[in-house]
Parts: sequence; structure tokens; C-alpha cells
Amino acid sequence: MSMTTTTMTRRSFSATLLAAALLLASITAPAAAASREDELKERFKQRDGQLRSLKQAGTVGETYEGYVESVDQKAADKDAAKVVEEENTDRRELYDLIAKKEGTTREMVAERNAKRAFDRAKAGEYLKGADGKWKKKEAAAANK
Amino acid sequence: MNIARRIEPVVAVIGLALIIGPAACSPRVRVDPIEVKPIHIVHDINIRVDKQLEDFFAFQDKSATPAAATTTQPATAQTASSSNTAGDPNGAQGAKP
Repeated sequence: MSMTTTTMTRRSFSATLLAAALLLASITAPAAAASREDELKERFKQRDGQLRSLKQAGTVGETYEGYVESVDQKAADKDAAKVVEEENTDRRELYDLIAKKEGTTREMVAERNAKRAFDRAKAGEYLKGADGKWKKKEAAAANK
Repeated sequence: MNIARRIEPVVAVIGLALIIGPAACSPRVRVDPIEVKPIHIVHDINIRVDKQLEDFFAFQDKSATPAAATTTQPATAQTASSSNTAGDPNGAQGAKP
């Protein structure tokens, strides 16, 4: 009798422990994702000015795939290449976070961000289309 | 006996007609099952993803506003410099070519 009671107590204890662990995970997982998003946002913010200058100088441009790229790979200096690499690494992570949240794919989020970036681009900035060719955004298109 | 045998199929036919008849004549309204088309789902996800991206990159709009203000400043500064060129080297250059 006492053996059965002990087994039952152990079972109920482990069930409670499991439930508590699940509850904790459900609470901490979104919080962790949110804090990661905040970290990412901070990094994007810090890089924003530099990236904008590179875009306006025509060194770096947005691609249709939702990432940034050096317009002239050969001519790109180390600093620009570093900014591009960091930006793309963070974008990949951000796309994954949003994709997970919305139940879609990284590529789909990247595509939406590409559209957004193309719309927001200012006149004179370079944009790489699906044909793989760089095009300078014209003033008329930028004002739309 | 013979009459009963002869009548039997007729009764059967009449019976069937009585059973099937009302069912065949009664109006039926067919309601097609509600179909959620994939295009609507995709559109909905697009909107939600766009919203997420807009919220995340909201700082770009805030940081872009002062930059836009500075880009429009030279035009006003130049017009102002035509009357007073003392503090502005560009304005001074413009005044004395």
C-alpha cells in the first residue's frame, strides 16, 4: 500500500515538475525572442547611419532578395564589406525570428523586406533586380 | 389470385412513386462548403509580416527625419545667406565669386 502511494506521489511530483517546466518554457521563450529582437534592433540602429551613407554613395545597394550587397565587389573596401556582412547576418536572424512568429519562411520575410527597402530607397541609390543587374533609382520613382 | 398478382407490381410502382415523388419535387438548396482560398492566407501573412518589419524598422523613419531636414537646410540657408553672409562660408563664397 505504502509502495503504491510512494509511486503515485513520485508520478504526481514528476508530472507537476514537467508542467512547471513547460510553463516556464512557454513564458521564457517569447521573452528570450523579444530580448534577442531588441539586441538586433540596437545593432541595426548603430549601423544605420553608416549603411545609409554607403547607399547614398552608391557603394552598397539593396537586392531583390532582401539583403544588401556591394555594388562593385572589386572596388568595395574592407569597411564596406564588413558592414554588408554584419547587416546581412543580422537580417538573416531577424527574418528567422519574424518567420517563426508568423509561421512563414525566411525567404518570404526577406522578400517582403526587399519590397519595403525598394520602396523606401532614395533617388540615386542602387537596387539589384531579379535579373541580377544593378539599377540606379530615379528621382521620379523615388518620389512616388 | 391472378388479379392480386397483376395488381402487385402496379401497387409497388405507385408506392415507389409516392415515396420518391415528394423527395424528387422538393426544392433543395445546395450550400457549397466555405472554402478558404490560399491566396487570402498569403495576403494575410504578407500584411502581418509587413507590420512586423515596419514596427521593427520604425527607428529608420525617426532617424531619417533629421537627415531630411538637414538636406533641405542648404536651400533655405542659401536664400538667407544672400542677405546675411557673415557666418556662412558657403554663403560668403556665393556672394563674392
